[in-house]
Amino acid sequence: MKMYKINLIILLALGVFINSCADLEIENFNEPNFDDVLASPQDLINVPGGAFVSWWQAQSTVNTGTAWAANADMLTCSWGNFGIRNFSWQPPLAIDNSLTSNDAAAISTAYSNYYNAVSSGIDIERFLSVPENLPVIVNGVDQTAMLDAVSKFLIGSGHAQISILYDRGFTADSETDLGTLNGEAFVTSAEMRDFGVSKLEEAASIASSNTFSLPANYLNGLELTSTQFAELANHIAAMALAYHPRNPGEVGDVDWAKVVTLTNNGLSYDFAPLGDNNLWFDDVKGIGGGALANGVAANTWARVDQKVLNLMDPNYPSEFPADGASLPELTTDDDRISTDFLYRSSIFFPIDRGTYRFSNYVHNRYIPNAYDFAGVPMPKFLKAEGDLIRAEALIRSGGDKGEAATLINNTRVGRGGLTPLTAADSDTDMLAAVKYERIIELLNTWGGRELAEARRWDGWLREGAFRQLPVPGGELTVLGVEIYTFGGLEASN
Amino acid sequence: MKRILLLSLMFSLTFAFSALAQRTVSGTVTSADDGSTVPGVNVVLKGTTTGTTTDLDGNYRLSVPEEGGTLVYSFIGLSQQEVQIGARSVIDVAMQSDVQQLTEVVVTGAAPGITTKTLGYSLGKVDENLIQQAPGVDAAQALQGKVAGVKVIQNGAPGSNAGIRLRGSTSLYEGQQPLVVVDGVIVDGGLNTINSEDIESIEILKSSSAAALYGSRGANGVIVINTRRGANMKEGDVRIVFRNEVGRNYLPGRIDLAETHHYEIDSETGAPPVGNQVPRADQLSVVPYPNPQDYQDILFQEEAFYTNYLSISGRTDKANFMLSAQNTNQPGVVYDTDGQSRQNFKANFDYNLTDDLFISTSNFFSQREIDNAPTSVFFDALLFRPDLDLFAKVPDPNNPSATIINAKPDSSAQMVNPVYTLTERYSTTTDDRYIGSVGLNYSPFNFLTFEGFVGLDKQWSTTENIVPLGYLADDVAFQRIGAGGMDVTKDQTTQVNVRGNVLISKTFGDLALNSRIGYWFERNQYDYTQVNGDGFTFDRRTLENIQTVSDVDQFKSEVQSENMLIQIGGVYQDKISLDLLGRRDAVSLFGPEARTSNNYRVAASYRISEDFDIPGIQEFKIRAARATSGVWPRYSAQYETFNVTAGVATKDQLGNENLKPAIAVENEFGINMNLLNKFTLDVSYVMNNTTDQIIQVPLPAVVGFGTQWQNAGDLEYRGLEITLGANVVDNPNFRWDFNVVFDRFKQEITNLPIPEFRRGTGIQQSDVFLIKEGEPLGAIYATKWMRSLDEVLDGNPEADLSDYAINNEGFVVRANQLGTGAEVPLPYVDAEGATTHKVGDTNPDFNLGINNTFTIYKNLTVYFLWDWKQGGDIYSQTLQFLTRDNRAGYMDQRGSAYPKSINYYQGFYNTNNPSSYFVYDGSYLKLRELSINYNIPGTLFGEGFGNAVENIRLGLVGRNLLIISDYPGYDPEVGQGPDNIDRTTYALDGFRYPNFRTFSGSIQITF
Repeated sequence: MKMYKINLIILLALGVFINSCADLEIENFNEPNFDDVLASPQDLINVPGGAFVSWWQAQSTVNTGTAWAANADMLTCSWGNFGIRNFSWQPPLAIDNSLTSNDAAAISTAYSNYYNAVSSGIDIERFLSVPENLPVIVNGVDQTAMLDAVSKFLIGSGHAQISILYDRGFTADSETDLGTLNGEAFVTSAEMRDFGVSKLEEAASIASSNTFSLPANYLNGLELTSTQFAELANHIAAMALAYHPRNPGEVGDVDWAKVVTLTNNGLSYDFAPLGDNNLWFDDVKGIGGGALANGVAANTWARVDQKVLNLMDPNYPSEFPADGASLPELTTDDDRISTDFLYRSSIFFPIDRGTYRFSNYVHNRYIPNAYDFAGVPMPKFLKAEGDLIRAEALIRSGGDKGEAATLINNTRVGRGGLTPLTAADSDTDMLAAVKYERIIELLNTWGGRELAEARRWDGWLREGAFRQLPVPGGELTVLGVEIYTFGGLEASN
Repeated sequence: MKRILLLSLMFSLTFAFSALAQRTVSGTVTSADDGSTVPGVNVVLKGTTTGTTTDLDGNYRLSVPEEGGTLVYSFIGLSQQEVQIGARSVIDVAMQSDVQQLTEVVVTGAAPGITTKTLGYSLGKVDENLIQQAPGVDAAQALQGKVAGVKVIQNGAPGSNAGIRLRGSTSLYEGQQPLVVVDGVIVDGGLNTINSEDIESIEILKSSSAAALYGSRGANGVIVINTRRGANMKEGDVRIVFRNEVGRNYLPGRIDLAETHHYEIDSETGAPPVGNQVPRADQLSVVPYPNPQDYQDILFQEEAFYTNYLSISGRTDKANFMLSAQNTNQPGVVYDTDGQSRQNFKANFDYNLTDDLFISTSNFFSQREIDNAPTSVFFDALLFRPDLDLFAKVPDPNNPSATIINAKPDSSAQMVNPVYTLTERYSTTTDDRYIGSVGLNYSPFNFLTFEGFVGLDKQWSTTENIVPLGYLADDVAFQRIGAGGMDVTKDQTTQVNVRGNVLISKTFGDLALNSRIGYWFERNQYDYTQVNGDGFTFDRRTLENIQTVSDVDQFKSEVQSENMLIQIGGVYQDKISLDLLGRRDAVSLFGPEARTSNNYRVAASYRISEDFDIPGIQEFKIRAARATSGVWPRYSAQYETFNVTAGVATKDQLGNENLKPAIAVENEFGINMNLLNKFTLDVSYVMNNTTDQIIQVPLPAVVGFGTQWQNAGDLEYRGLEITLGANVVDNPNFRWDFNVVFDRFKQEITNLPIPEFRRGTGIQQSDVFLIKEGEPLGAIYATKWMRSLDEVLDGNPEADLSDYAINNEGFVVRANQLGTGAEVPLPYVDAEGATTHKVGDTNPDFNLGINNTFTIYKNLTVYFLWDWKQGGDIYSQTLQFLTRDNRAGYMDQRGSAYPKSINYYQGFYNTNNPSSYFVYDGSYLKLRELSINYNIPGTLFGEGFGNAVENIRLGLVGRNLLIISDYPGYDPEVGQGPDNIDRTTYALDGFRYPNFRTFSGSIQITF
């Protein structure tokens, strides 16, 4: 018995101390950390993949476009999701930018995602600024120039696109001490724009003077050549300048000559990464438009605002009639009414939310069957956008109107089947055609475009609609800056 | 037991003999439970100070007047008895144990040697007697309304976990779920698999002091469940218990719905058209739908449930055992769902290998299958217009020769026919769980014991959500409409506990010193995998037939901790106690620079009644305790992370090498009294401050990493708990016991160094709660509709008040709109321009539970439990959505003296943003449990069953029988969201499986 007991006690001791050296240094099994992500040149080359996703989602999610387009009377929708209803009341309300705002995501998503991309750009720029890290050779190929151009692009486009949407922000690159940033470091959107444009010009310059192609996992499925990448950088820089005006009065202040210069080497292609339903999807098109699913009618989200429909058919009401009864189909010479738009005889929006939210048309140019974006190109920046920005710049800077007419006709005639413009047309007529094309042809491309477009044309935005977004309330509070907002009849906008 | 009773004998009060005694009465006092003699029992001649106490063998001898009188026998832990002396000179008494009284039970976590009698802090306990009055499907039901400071929120869905909070809130982010210990094993997760029939007792270590043994993860308290064993049986006994319960479920209440509309009608159908509806000019919902139906009557069905239970227990001189099996089937109340089917098995063995070596094992296995109800049906059944036929058939597009239930009876609505959803979609969860342990005690000397313990909790869970091929409705992902698809989720949890303790006890004169030195190790491993696939090739519902795997996800975690603890308990003359504990935890969840955490407890008690004889007070203890305990950060909180999806990494959160547990510091003061030989009173006042809250702090956007978990912020609460127990009547033929538990807690976020932020229950737009300095956890912030003209001036000092009026419902409206279709409520804007304001608080003013047990003629027991919650608001997302779709009952304006237009109610709807209109008082009084049990003694059967039947117990049990409340939902006991959500605080009601009523009959035969 004694032996038996001793054995048991040994067993007991073993049982207790078998794990007595607990392993407290448990790694995170799931997500990588900074050291993993930047452990080697092979890892570094994957960093932009994530950064481009953030950049893409800053202009392609449910929270980054549809509500702003509804505020801008380009789309219309009664649903309360994603800030849509609150951003499109008549008369308009001020944006609720408080910490308790229900629309916080519709204010902050673009801001944080663009800065997320900027942050990764800074990480790469910082890595490349260490001489010992150079050159960056991956699988025997020197990728230094490609990564250099990409880092400048990420920093530049982030700043440039924030400057279009928000009234202020930080400028930051690898020389900025991010640990000491506070509210005093805020700069105006114009300074943001200029910083962004200069970074994009650097990116374009590096890309133009080197030969590389972007790995396919950067811009899902697009292996842009260095030339195409330079064009993309130039395009976004031109956008930052052309879309910066907050009201028609500021349009004349744009450096149109510089826009012409930038668009000399602007987009020669439609920039359209492929969807994967995972990271790469385009809710700006999905929520901004509508679709069928395997032949079954699915719920649709936004519809096309009457103001846009009225552009295509001046006899069509620019405000939906108060009785709420469905309108018939409109009449227009523009062929796009049958390729890009879909008439729906039923309106599913509750009438109690106001017939001003009604419309019988859905924009269905892009949305694939069953909302399935897998392998589907998702045009974000059309070549036509570059053409139309350049056309406006040529007209406003006294440039070649013949070229401007040709650029406008590319879609006006090419897709719309409308009467061609010529150099003999007046500036006013040509600018009206630019406005028409940009509104009809570029609808539901990138999030924020409709707002940037609407605010720069006389009489489009209604009184009290916001013309830009405030820095998100949460960010302001973190930085110790008082919360402010835009929009509403009683406030600045 | 014997040793403690001896101590009681030594220190019990003595009484002077009466000098005028004329004759002597003697006798022996025994325990009615096991026949053993009881020393130290007070025996007093009623109405005098004449008395004595029983000696070591339970004998007493007392002089009494010649004419006799009444002797009163009393002893802590036993029911007091009064016996007429009459002419007798020998009176032997068998005393019944009394669970209401302060007994000398050893307490989990207390220093060895300290019992409830000398405990320096409060302890909640629910004993077998109470639990078995109405054994619930799971152990959480055994806690409701029975212990002060315990909040249990049931979630109606069969098999779901209840939300439990002990005392006030300790955590802003990590929920309040207490730690659960089953037969010594720290288990992972809740109580939903543990059946009640096996439970012998539940200890609720609700204070930081009580939970200090569990150190840095004890701040939410601990629920200690001990299951039955054979140890308390007589040697040689074998007991077989067979129990069957059969009952029915009901959902008694219905939400009031409008059966009217405000549209022009189609003259052919008498109803509004489907789509393209034209509102009436007056915008009043006064036109009844033709043949309106309440789809709640389809969705909620009466269902039968049953439970079978068998246990066998026994004891020999060296060993005891308890084996049991339980089979339960609880279908719930939702149409075409099967609810939970569960089989539990339990095997406990104890064996004295030698006089000084004891081995013990506990084993529990549970398997269950749950047929889940999709949450969308609770939404759809309420919101659809009421003139549809949910069973109407239409041609099946997948099979032209067949018909199917119409998936979209209103093609203009977002909703899907709930009958279609319930009959066509499937969601099934299967769980297996093993909880087991082996313990070994070796006591080589009287003063020294070595304890070794190894415990394991292993769980496997699989959930399959299936949209079959040909599914036609659009309440699923777009790509699954028609094509079908499925999600398969599997997770596995392994929790290992290893403990070694050395116990030393030594008595120095009047001072008994005990100590425990321990080493504890814990490891928790979790592995979760999910595969989502779209499109079935054939109608075979496995991943094998999926065309496209759309997502594969895996999450793994591991937590290890090792803890050293030392405890010293001193008891002086069984009168004064001091309990000291120190524990040092090293935990992998803490940042590398903050890997260890120290916690302590100091608790003391003084039994005043041992020194002072206070009339009417048999026992009076004062106590005080101070302790610290902690809240662990979640697994990923310390790490710097990038999100990786499809091989692409994006910045997520910044790591924190200094992350440490939140620390709760608690001071508790209390008294325990036994009064008037009838009452027990337990009062505690507690002050708790949890500092270094674990909070996800937002970072400036340009940093790239959005957030970082930091220790920041303080959450404080004060609370009062009162438990009053009484044995009001104790006659041989009638006995009435009651127990009242009361608690009241006030809490406040006293420091929040980050921007205020919203929290919710994890479902869409549920973030109505604001975490803000100066507010309690559970403050509701929303648009507030003005109710006084003064409020108009706050936001607009220039306003001409004659432009405003107060309508018949008390809301401020524009004067020129009053009584018109344009009348709408006006939101309050304060002087600073703020549009969101505090409009509610989910924390109740107090909770009160009253349970009564009547025993009539010894064999008939009637038990009922009332549960009263006073105050505490509820946010009803259900009513908000009903308002959105013009279906809330109050929108029916027929017969209204001051009819309100649809626009008026749409103002309150507030685009589904938080709105004060949907904040309701959540007060309720519930008859939570009622049971009537009748014991038929086995003696009645005589030889009929070969004397095998000990007794037969027939019972009737009702649950949730009566709810008195103004709340307009199914049940004011509201709690929803995943298990890590604090359901006891975030009282949000939004289209979830309601709590239902059950009524059942049972028969229990004990052999």
